[in-house]
Amino acid sequence: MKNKKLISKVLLSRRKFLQLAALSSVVMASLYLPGTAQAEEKNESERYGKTLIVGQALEPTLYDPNRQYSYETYRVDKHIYESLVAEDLSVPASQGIPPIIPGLATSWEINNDATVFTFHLRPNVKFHDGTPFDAEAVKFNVRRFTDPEFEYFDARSKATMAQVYKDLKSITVTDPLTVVYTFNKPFPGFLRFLPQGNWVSGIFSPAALKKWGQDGLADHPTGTGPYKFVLRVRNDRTELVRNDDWWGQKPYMERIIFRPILDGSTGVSALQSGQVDILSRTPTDAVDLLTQAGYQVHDSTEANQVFLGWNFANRYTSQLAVRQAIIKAINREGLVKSLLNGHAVASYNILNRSNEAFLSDQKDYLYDPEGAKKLLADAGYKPGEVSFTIITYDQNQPIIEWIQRDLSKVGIKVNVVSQEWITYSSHLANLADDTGLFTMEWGLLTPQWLNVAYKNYVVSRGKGENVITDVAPLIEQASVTTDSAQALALWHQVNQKFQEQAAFVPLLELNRVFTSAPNVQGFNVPAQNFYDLTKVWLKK
Amino acid sequence: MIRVILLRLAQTIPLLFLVSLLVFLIAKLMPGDPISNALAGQLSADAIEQIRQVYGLDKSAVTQYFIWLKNLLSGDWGISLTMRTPVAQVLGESFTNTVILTVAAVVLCLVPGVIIGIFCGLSHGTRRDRLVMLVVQIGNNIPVFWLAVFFIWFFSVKLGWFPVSGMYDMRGDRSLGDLLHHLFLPAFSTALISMLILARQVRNSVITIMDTDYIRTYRALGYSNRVLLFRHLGRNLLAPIVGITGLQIGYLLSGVIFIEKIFAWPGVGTQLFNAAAGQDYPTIQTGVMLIAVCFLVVNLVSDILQDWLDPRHSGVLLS
Amino acid sequence: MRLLTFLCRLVRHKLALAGLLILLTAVGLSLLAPIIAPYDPLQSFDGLRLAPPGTPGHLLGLDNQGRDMLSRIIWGGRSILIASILPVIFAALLSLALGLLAGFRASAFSELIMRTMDILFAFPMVLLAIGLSAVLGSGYSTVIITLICSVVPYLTRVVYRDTRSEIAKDYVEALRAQGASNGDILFREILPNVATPLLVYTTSLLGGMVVFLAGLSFLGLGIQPPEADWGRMVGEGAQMMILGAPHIATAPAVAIVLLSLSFNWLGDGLRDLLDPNR
Repeated sequence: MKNKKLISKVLLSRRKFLQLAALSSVVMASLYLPGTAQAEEKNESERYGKTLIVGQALEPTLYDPNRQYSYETYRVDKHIYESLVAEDLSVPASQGIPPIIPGLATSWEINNDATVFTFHLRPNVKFHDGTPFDAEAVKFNVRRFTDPEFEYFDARSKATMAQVYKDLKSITVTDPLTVVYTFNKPFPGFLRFLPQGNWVSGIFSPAALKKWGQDGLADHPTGTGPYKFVLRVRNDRTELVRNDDWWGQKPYMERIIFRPILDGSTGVSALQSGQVDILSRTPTDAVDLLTQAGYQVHDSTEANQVFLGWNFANRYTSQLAVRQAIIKAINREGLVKSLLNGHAVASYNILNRSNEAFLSDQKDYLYDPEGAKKLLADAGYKPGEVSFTIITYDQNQPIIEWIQRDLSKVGIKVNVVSQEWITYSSHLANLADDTGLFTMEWGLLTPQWLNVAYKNYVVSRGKGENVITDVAPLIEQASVTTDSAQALALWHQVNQKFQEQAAFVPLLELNRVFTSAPNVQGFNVPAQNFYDLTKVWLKK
Repeated sequence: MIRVILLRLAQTIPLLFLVSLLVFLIAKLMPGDPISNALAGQLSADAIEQIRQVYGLDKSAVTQYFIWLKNLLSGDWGISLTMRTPVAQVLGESFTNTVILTVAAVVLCLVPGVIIGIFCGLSHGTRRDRLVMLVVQIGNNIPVFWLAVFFIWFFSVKLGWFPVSGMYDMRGDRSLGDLLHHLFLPAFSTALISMLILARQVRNSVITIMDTDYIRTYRALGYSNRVLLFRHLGRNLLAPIVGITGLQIGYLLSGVIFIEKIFAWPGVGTQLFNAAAGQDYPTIQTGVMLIAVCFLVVNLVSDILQDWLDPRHSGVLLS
Repeated sequence: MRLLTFLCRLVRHKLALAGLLILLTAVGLSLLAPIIAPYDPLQSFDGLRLAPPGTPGHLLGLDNQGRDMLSRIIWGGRSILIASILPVIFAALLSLALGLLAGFRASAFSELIMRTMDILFAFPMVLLAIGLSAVLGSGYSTVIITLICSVVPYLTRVVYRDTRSEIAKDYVEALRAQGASNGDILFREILPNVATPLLVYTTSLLGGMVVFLAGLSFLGLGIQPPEADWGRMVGEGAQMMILGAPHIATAPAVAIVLLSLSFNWLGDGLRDLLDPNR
């Protein structure tokens, strides 16, 4: 009897204890969970700070959305220019591809065959120069790179934006806040293209273009974004200041300064000495020592991979056997493990892991140096006979030197030529005959990446379209298929054909790229090549 | 005096022309043409040709030279081919930075160099002198680029005394103090080796001067080194110091390019380097001209000063 | 007879001797590189990347690509010696010719030569190298031409000045009075007197040129990877210095200093022995 009472008392108290525990853990959790109203109110005002400094890996190109290229450029001016839609870059990489969210358009409708896109624009938005953002401004922007009859037409922009807009039939303004894009062919991938770093459809102020001219816009970038342009000193820095009239949530940092620091170890020192807060490319040799010192080296699944593209006009690389031999000769796993200290993932697929069409078992050729030698011998080449140049830019030179060694083991002689990035990229259009491979890093989350890669790294590289056959119609078909499952199946086929014909040399995806100092908060690395700095703040 | 200046000027100006011609020729020898290279994939042949005409690339080489020269002198320095911005903007921003660095290096070279040189010259033959001279000789042969990297590692990373790179603290207010803090290490690295060379030459000059009958007499009469130093050495030393400094500015300018690369100092050296790699010959031409002009001007001033200080070139000049 | 005395005196001059020994060692190592170097300078050792000096089997450690530093230094010495000595010898001979011709008789030709030398003197040589690299690409040709252009003005001036002062001496007048031809005077009498200081200067200059050459390679204007090259090795090691592997940049730097010092000491010794008056 007594025992029962005791037991029930104990049970009761146990239950109470559990209840209490549950309650207190909820209370505790709510105190620590970010985003709870209490915590936010208390900390919010403390988060506003003065200056954030970002160390960039490369010098930006131009701050003109229709002429620019390279991530580092977009990482800066995505805060100046906005597109009609945006990607939610606050979604961590582990949760997948950042979803499309409203940007300068609050809602949109797409017709059944994805040929007509109607956007409803956000009201009461102004450009940094005070002029209003409306449908006419959007139309002005689009005409700049599509309509040769337009007074402010720019041929260079047209060439850059053609990737996205070449099949645009018309753009019409139905009312001051509604704009309609009509395409000749179905374009299911259109939305995803709008906020990408290349051919970005960032909206600039028509007044600014009129005032500063086609070339001048890059020096006076004027958009609608959370930050305004202050100044740029080439090879030194770009300064942005907060746009207090921005329509979105007020960014925490008043000023952001971007500094190109081309040398990796200088960047690391700058980070360690507090001269920069965020580093956008971390030398793999520094990852471990930075992590130990308390820096956050974020695990990232980027949309980016380092790969090599062929010069299809080169007498050796124009042949399938040679291409296959080269790919087989490269020890990608060894490269990642040794040179990069394991802080990368070897890639056997021109699609990177975060791409919608990625299939992990779709690989090109595995490491097989004996097989490579055999291929060359069967094609009639003696050891040392096949010889060409690989061109690269300084950041990736160690990787190319490594590959040079791998290739020499199968009897292929390689010269390496390395240049500074902007110089390098301006030389890419005209490859010398003895260049066999060039280095590039890029990628997109959409399967359209296969189309982009085809256009940029097959077609324009020594008539590659004659060497890599049967893909163009498939790509075309995949691009216009509105049913996403069917489209994916087609994209898989395209990739298959690429791999069979050795159209690219995928190498690796770096996965410890961004480092932030311990006091940097709110810096999220999404599964994309850019990040949103408006939510970043510095803990004091 | 005026005659000397005019004479030197008359000699320098043809030199400048010849330098400009040399620069132009080198630029012209470059294969291909940056405009075509850069835009090949993007625009039609006609459009490219139009742009080439805008840049004047379609005319004959001789015509291009004279057009370039005329523009150069009238201040129109052309458009950078890789950056599509005016060369004046590209170079102007960075030129001041290089000047700051070079001036600082000259100061850091002169002051310790002269002091050490005099010190060793006066204690010629002692162990102190020999030790310092040994250090000087070793230092002479140290590659400046390694030294700079070593300094960064030691003073910036290990000791944390100086910033690692750049000209200013981005978060700061660009004060003079901040600039000096960033300036010290690059300037010191640039200057060190020239300082050692200067020290050695000054020492040799001091020895030779001290050996002249003139000074010997004074010493026999009992004048101390100090008095001799201030009264006579100073005057005699000035000319060779000016001469050597003029020469060293050349080395310093060459060294500056290394230093700018290592310290990420936003100067003319980095710009030229990128311009050369990118075949951006408007920038290269103008940049090299700018540096050559400075160089020649400095040499001119140095020559004139030397003539004024020591018209007979009798003194104790370089061996 | 003179040679023997000279050699004896050289041996007694300690620094010059040291310089000569270092130089001979360097030359010897370079010639014997294929036999002496412990490993292939291009071979990469798995898992030993960035290993410090003292790692078993690798006296000077390994570099960024896992290659043996000692082997690379030996092979790098070969390339730097060839790239510095041969062009400088060529430049010295060229300067001898130009300086003699210009100094012998004041003429429009000699003016032209000296003015050209002034221009080259006025040119910061690194810029020349950068400009040349844009035309010729990086590599031996760029570096060698730059080297020659750096050396010739200086040496020509030296020869010119010495020729001028020799011409003014009494014995030349005497020879002329005796009816000796210009050619005779120039080649039999003046040249030997001028060649000696030239040798001294050239030897000392070689020291500076070794460092300069390494500097050009450091900037990326010299021979391209993966060949071993001291300047380039310092450049590649510069990054690694901050990341904890200072030996990659420092070993080649020490080698550069030693080689350059040896030339300097040898040059000083030669100067003291051949020209004690100066």
